[in-house]
Amino acid sequence: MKRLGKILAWTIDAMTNLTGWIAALSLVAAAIIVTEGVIIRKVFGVSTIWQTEASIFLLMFVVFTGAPFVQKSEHHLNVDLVIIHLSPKAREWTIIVVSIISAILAAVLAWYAWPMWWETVVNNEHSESLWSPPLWIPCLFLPLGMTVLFLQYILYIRQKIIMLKKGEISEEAERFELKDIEVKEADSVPKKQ
Amino acid sequence: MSEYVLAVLLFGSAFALLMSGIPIWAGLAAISLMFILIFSPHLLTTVPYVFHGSMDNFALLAIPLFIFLSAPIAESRASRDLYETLHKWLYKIPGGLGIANMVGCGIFAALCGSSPATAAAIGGIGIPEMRRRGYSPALSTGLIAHAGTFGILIPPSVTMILYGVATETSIGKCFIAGVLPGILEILLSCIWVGAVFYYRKITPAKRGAVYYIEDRGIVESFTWKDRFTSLIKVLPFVLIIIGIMGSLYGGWATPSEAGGVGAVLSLLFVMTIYKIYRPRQLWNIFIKALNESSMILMIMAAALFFAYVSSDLYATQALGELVLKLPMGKWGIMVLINILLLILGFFIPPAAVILMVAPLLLPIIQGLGFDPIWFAVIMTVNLEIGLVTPPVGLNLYIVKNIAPDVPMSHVLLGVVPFVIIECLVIVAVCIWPELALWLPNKMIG
Repeated sequence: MKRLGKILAWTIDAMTNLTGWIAALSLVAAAIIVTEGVIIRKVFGVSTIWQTEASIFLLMFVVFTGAPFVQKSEHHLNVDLVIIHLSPKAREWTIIVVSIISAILAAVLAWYAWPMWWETVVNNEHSESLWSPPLWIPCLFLPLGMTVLFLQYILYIRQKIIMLKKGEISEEAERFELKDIEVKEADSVPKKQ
Repeated sequence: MSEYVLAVLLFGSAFALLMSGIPIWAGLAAISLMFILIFSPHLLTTVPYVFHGSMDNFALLAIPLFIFLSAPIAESRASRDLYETLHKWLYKIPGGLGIANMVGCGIFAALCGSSPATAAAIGGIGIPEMRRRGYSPALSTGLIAHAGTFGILIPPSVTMILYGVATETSIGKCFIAGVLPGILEILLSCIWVGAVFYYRKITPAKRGAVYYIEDRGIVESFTWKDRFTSLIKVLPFVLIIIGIMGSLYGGWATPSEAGGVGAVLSLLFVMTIYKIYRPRQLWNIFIKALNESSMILMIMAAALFFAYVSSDLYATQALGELVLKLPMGKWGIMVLINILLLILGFFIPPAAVILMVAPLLLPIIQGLGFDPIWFAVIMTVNLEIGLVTPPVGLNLYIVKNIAPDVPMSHVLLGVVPFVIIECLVIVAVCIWPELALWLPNKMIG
């Protein structure tokens, strides 16, 4: 049972990383495709066919399928005004409760999004443009992302509860918005000359 | 249940849930989903279409692309070079160092778009430097906290893109509208620093003074050669901004296109100028851009869902009508809206405020006969104030970390004059709407 749990956790993390990495590359690809489109249109004066649509698909991948990865690194912005003033234990519990709400939300979105995708597959829908790509590809991103996000939340909640039981909780609250920003402490009191 | 009660319930519960520290996108979406379940369950199956459709928009690509433009620059030493260059060019002006800091923040903010990141990047160098040269702790920390907020007003700003998408106004015009008020704000702030400099020359500071610049008699000189060589490293990035603004103004490119080209160029420049090309470094840049983009756009998708539900329940319309019926005249309502924005800005990050209230306020603004593009500027300056005021005030937190020995009360006192300047800018833009509208109206396309 314990082993199964480990394998499951590993699989979920692997899925999250995989979708996250592809999402990061999609963002780069989108920038390159948009640039290519501009060059073709403005420099060579040829009209573009697939660039706009393809970059929108990549955008969807970045947003929806990148979301679980963003959750894993705890980068979803929140309002931390109240929770930073709670006691560490109360704060952990609040985070667990809101994570459960978020997990349910992701599950509901996934539940209703899969039929949306299935419809495009069954009806073999294509977009109404010259390029006409099959629509099941962009429609897959939302259900896939939300499913992985749901699983990632389960993992996150489990982790939080284990930590709480062990009593390993950080005293200091972390400000979400400042995660990536390196603030160097200056050589504080300047010397008088 | 009347629409008014419903509207208050909807917005009140969303606000309450957000305060619990739930991720903003999840909070907005969860409340919307709940209201759908209770009041119009037949819409449940349309929810994924709303989410999917919210991202089906080429204009939205501007957000991840501008974020991607800033990520490599934030990772490099560009902020230090920018700072040094400006110092070399401006050191002879009275209060030149403070002005160099201000302008440095302005340029860096334009490139990077994030307020706290700007305050951290420029402030990390600027605050110790200013204090070494006799700027009072309050003045130097307040200046950086304030100057960091230029990022959301000076284009290209992600906040403006969000406003443009949420209200369906031209993003390019919103960008250009921020230019003159931004310059006015920098100008007024520079005048304040210059005034402190001159005043203290006449009457030296007494003990315990908050604002002063002590003349420590540090003499520096840079040759013109120094100045021009330092310019070389900075110039490419300044050219990116000028290129983006120029192409938007001239109508050659949409914001998304300008962002895409800008992102590719900024990555190439950072790779060549700062020699950042190891896979590990590049990967960090990509991951950072992904985190930021997905985070903001998930909020966007959820906010559009929220707006959809709010409009379906007739809450948006009811609140709009209610406000328009208030017997206080056009400007009375405007003052009320400003106060509301200020209060929201105290608690919630600018991106979320814009996404939540812009669709709600737009019909009111238009109903009163104001220009939505003009309002973009008013809203943004309001939210700038929220970034330097407690209890959330991220920039305060940043400068406090850079200079931990400065008491918070001094940082706050240092910020006060700048908050007054921001209020003056709001008033000025209200009295002379041309400040915001003249440039966008002259735009081509």
